[in-house]
Amino acid sequence: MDLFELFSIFIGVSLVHNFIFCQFLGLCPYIGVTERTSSAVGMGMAVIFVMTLTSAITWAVYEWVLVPCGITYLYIIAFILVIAAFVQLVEMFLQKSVPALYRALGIYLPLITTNCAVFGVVTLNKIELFGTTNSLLKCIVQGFGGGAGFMLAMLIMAGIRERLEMADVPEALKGMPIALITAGLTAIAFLGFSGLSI
Amino acid sequence: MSDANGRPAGCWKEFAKGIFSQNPIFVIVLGLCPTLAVSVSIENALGMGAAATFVLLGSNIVIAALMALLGKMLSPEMLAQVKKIRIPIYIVIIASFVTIVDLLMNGFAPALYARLGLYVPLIVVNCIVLGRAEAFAASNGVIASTLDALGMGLGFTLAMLLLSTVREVIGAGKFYGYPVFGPGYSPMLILTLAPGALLTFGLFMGLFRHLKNTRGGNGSL
Amino acid sequence: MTSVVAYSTLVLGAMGLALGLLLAISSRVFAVKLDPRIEEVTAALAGLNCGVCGYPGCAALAEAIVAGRAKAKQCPPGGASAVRKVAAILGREAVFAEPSVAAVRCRGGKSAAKEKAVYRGIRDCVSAELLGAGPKACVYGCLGMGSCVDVCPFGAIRMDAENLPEVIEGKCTACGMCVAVCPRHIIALIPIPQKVYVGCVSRDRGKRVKDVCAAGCTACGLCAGLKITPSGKVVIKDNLPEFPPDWEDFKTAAGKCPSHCFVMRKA
Repeated sequence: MDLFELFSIFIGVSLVHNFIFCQFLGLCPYIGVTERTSSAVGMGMAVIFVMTLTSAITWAVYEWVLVPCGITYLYIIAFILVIAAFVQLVEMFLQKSVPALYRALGIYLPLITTNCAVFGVVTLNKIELFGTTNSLLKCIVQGFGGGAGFMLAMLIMAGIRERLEMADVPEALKGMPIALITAGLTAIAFLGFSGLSI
Repeated sequence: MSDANGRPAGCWKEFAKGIFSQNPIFVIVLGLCPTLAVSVSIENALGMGAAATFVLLGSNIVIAALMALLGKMLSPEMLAQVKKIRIPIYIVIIASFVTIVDLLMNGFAPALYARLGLYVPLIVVNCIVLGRAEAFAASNGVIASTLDALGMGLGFTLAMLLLSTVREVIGAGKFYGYPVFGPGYSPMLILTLAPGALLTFGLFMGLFRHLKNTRGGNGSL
Repeated sequence: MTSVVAYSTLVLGAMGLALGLLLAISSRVFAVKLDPRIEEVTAALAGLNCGVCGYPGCAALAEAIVAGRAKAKQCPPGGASAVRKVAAILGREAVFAEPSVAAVRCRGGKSAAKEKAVYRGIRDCVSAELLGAGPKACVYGCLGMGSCVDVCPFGAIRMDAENLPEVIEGKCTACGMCVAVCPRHIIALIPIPQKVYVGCVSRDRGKRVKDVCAAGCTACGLCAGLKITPSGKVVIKDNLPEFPPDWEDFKTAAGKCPSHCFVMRKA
């Protein structure tokens, strides 16, 4: 078990190929949820949780069901079914067993089903990691790292947007356009990671 | 292209609204993820637009037909129960069409498929497809849904073309792979990279909103 | 070829069935028994999820009402009809909030009031007030940067040409958010039957007021005189006229005020 390789995957997916600033996955909720830091944190935690666990479950479905039956081309349908069912299950479980956490996450949990980032990370797992050694562990680390990078991006954005509300933004740029331009400028900063290879 | 010109509403309106007044990218603001990622070059944009339109068309038609059929076959209580699980139903139908596109592209356009990579399967979670299924196809007839899908697909493709033209011409000095400026042109590389997409898109949104505001905001661009 | 078709159909069908069953069973196992009245109360409230009541969303307020921790009158957009409906659902007595509306008690806008400095900072009244009591010469007057406009969840207040906030009475639900955010406490909730209010909150009098604002109340006392106000309901307190909400003979006083301080509500 090469810890170094796992660390490299984690850094790669959270910083170098950050889901928001580099791969544009998960932009729809990104713009919608980052108006307040508190909601950004809630969404971030939910996404990390879902991404890590669905990485593991989709690996299992792929390796133990699709591959033996020789129908790997159906991975899109299988993965999306797993994600949708999993999110629904987690929502039900939390509502009953940990209602405080359920209320804290609020509407962000059902929003994750169609989050490009979650489906993106499991597809990335399939493209890059399935079939290699220790693929399950690598997938879990990539899922966790993707979520962590997503949450980092959201926290940065939420902090900036809270200040942006007070600023004198031109009328045409208020709201979404200035948020996107801000994201673009932050992405330039993240470009600095692109030379990082461990 | 607006009703104010006295054109007959109905068919044309269903089709045209997807291009301007309800453009999925610039007005409704859905499906940003593939738009920004794929608009690096015009060729990619066209390929993605075609794939997304295919999926939109297929899913809109099937979902409209299915909901119409269920509406006729089932009693109101049963229909209400079915409506509770409508989102997974739509997602499975959309995923099937995306699988078809995925396999077709892999087989017939492997170079394009390799460039688009991750974003072809990602059409399944493209907010536009699910959004139109939920907002339109589920409650309108098959013909209207077909026109809506075509309009939205075209609007999506045109928006991506706009972005990719700017990014490819200024950012790489090429148009569809053909050099536009002379060899002395030093391209604005930032536009072909990730930040360039966000900046270009943000500025375009601001431009369109400014145009809409100064025109008195009568809905159509 | 046929095996692929067979496997595809079988495996996907089995997956769909299995996941569906799993979800169906979980929805029974993890079923949360909600008091059905909570849903009825939620429907009876305004449904705007504006947060004015202090709870995160209408469902949260409904839960608190059913539990007895809150009252239906805490929902200003719901108004009297929501209070009646909730009282009917829960079998409790209807306790109404007094119908009120917000009133901006300052008329020192761009033309009337003087500035003591040029302000280059965040365009927010609370921030400006923290910075040396703002750029306005009058320390009681409206700063005109629109914090009240920004905070209103109903779009019931807007800045007019004189850089003063104007309440759109049709949209105002008297939620009190503008009252809370104004750093100078210029906005107040007045009962709907009251037809007139004083458009100034300056505690100064005479020349001090005139030096900084042409529209301010100088506490000259004309309105309190019995010749102008025979009912004698106006008294000058803290250099401002004070009167009960049911003051009837205000027309003469309003006409005689040299600074035109009395604002008639466009009821």
